[in-house]
Amino acid sequence: MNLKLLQAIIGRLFTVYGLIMIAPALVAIYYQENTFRAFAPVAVVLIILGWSLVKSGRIQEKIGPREGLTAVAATWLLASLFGALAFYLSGCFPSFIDALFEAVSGLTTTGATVLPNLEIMPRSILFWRSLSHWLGGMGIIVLFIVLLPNIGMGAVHLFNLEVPGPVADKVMPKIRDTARMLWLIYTSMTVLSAVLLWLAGMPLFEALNHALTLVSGGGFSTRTAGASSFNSLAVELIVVIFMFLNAINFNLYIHAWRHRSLRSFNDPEFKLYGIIIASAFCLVTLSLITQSGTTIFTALRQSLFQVVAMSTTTGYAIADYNHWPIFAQFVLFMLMIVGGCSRSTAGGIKIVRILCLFKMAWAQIRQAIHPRLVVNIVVHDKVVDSNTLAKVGGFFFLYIIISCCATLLLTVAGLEIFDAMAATIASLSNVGIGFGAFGPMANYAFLGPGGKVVLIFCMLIGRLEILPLLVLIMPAFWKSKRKW
Amino acid sequence: MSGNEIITLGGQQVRVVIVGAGKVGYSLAQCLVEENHDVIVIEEDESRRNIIQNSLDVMTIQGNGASPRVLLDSEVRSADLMIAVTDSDEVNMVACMAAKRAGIARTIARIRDIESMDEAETEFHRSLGIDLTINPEYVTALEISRNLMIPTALEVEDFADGKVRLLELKIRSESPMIGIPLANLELPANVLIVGIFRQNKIIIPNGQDILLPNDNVFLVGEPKFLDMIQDEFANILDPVKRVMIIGAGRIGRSLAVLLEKEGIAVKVIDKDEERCQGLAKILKHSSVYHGEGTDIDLLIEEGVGDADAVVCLTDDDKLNLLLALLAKEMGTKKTIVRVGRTEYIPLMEKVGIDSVLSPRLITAGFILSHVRRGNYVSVSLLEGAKAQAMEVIVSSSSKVAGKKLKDIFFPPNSLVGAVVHRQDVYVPNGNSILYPDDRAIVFALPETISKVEKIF
Repeated sequence: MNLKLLQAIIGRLFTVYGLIMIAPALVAIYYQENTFRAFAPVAVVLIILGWSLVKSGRIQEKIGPREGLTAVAATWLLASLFGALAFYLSGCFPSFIDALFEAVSGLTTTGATVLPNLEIMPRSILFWRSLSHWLGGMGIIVLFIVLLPNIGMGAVHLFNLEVPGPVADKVMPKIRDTARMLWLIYTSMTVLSAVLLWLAGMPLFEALNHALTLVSGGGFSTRTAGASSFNSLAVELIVVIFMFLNAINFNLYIHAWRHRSLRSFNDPEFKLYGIIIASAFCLVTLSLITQSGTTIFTALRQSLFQVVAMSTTTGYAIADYNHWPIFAQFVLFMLMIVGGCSRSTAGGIKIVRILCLFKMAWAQIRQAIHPRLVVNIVVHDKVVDSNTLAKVGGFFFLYIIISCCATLLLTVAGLEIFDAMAATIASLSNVGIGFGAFGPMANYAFLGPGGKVVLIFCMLIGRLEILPLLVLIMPAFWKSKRKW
Repeated sequence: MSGNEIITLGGQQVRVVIVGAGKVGYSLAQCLVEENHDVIVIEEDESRRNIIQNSLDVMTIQGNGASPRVLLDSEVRSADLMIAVTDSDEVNMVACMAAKRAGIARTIARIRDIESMDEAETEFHRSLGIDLTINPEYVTALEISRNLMIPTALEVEDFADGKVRLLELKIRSESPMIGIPLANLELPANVLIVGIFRQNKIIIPNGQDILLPNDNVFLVGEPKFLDMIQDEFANILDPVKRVMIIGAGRIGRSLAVLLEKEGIAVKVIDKDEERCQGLAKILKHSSVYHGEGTDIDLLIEEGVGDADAVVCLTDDDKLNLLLALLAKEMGTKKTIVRVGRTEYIPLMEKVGIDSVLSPRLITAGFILSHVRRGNYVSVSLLEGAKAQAMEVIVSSSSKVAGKKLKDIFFPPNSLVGAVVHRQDVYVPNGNSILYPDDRAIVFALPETISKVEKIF
């Protein structure tokens, strides 16, 4: 392990993170809230610590896979810890675990909250929650690649580890240009949605907060009742559209922009995404009308919002779907597992992986009949190589096994089986709201500290797509100084 | 190679398309990325494409460099330069011709099938749309022959039309220079130690550093002064008069012809009878032998021990190493080995091979030296691209023009080795002033090159 290199990278990250934390401090000053005393010291400590690490570290050698994994994992863990520290110092959270849960839930864009009443919270705290969603949505490291000059060749590794999806395809020659483009699109979406929400009648501060949590696929709100408290069709439609747009592969936008054509949207993953949302929408609407007798307009409105909110793993709610027919609930549950497109701000397994898995299964069925048949898995006119397919299979297995283990641990904490499973998937897919006890109108405050720790890990594992965190629990990763 | 034209790329960042991600393509891409250029690599082979995609900050496109599908990609069309370095001459030529049509301003092709270069051929290629043609084997042969002409040197590079020379010498164990801080070494006025190669790392030394036995040292200076002090560092060798070449591939053939022109007695051994016949026709005074390079009897019979230098050029790295060791054992003074895998270079130098050359690196360096921004004249990659020596013309708008060197902030790990002011060569000190149109020889590690570029 090249410690000097890690120091240099993490030091830079601390500095940037510290500078960003000045923003909620300014909000606190503006609204004359005493949380200024929580944010300012943490920001100063981060900047000083970061600067000293930068000074002592050195970027000399290439970032190898080990350093890359460690840097990404360390970045997210430390960013969560310091974010939590600010929360804890503000005095709004009863324990440090609660603060950590909220911070991780923010950065991983999960949106699960432990705060029972948001209306009494200082605005700077609400803003920091939203801002952490926004940072984590596109990725802290991606931002860091944009803001900081050359961190060497290894930026590619870091980028690929943080940006979700199985295949690393570049749309521009340089990683820094790609990252800059991603943040440009992301920021403009945020500004646009904030303006639209404001025009639709939301107060400016709340419009900004919702824009930040919306484009990042987060789910935090400034009100306890969430999006439903505005009770405005216009707001809901804007929210649905932006949720939908942000779960699309961002590379498609870059392509469309650079080639000045929408041809790039002729993409199998995007099409399947559309099909999944459309069919889930139809099924849920039908179920609501026929099984629970909802009026057609309400059924259409609620099912559209809820299907998109779950599929894009944003996790807003305008209806308490705990009272919906079990069929509709389970459709939502499946949408949570699948998630959005790769290279977007959505969580979950990602649609392109599901597409590959389906094609693999289909190929196996065909091979069972024709044992000598040669089959290629083709996605977007390209043969997916066996290595990538193996990774997809491995990812799926790990996702399932981790959710089983986490569910098991939660039942130890005394949860009902479906509640436990829903909470696990809601964390692992970074949705935030589950079913039953963790339904859309509930929060996580009542869960014990053990259960919270389990879910904190689930959220981080889900956001970083498992491997960067999983290698940390491998003893060999820590033990040996040499590479074997 | 065709003409002395340098393809200059004005402006800051340029976009380069490299066709073929083989060893040359990879080395080129690596250097260009390190200098902050946009690089797009086109490669047909999926696994090679993956390797380069995962290790360098480049964009890759899977496909044939000569196919319209690839060339009409808008990312490719917006490029400023295309370098075609696949294994196939035809693909390289067609790729360059098509690229010209698609609107890429400059093209460079690797073309193997040129034994010697003349104006007519150059003109012909240019009319096809290929601005520069490179024959890696010929370039390598040139490099080896230059190396042989200066017997003690491991590597020789000339700058400023031969006024300044860079030498790499291996310090002999009883050299009087060992153990003295560099600041106290008595060197001729116009010679400077710019680098030390020790334990597979290049050190840019300061006055406190000392030389150790078996270091390789890089010296910059005027050739006549360098000649005077060479023997202080390394073992004295007589000028090369007899050379044995094992392996008569393209490099071997070009080299034999070049050496013959210099009046050196050449013996060539190759196992392929047809190749031997062909070469025997071209060569006038030299002799060609048909036989295995590993045939010790043949080697002894033809006096391998009495050869001043043995050059091993077979396609097999291991065999080359073995042959060179064998020759060394029998008393050859100097051995030169061709390698395919650049990772082997430091290893081979360690076990006693005098010079290890990689045609791929030489080719990459040669191409790069033609792809410099405006004021760069030439560039050489040293020790497998671990450092670069560059010749820079100080522009009148440059930050350094008219300033004393000690007042200029030079990035760490870079050094001005020599300056050519009008016609005079001198080694600069802190009080030297760089004037516009001076040529400076800068020695730098790869990561500092872009910073150095900004200064000049």
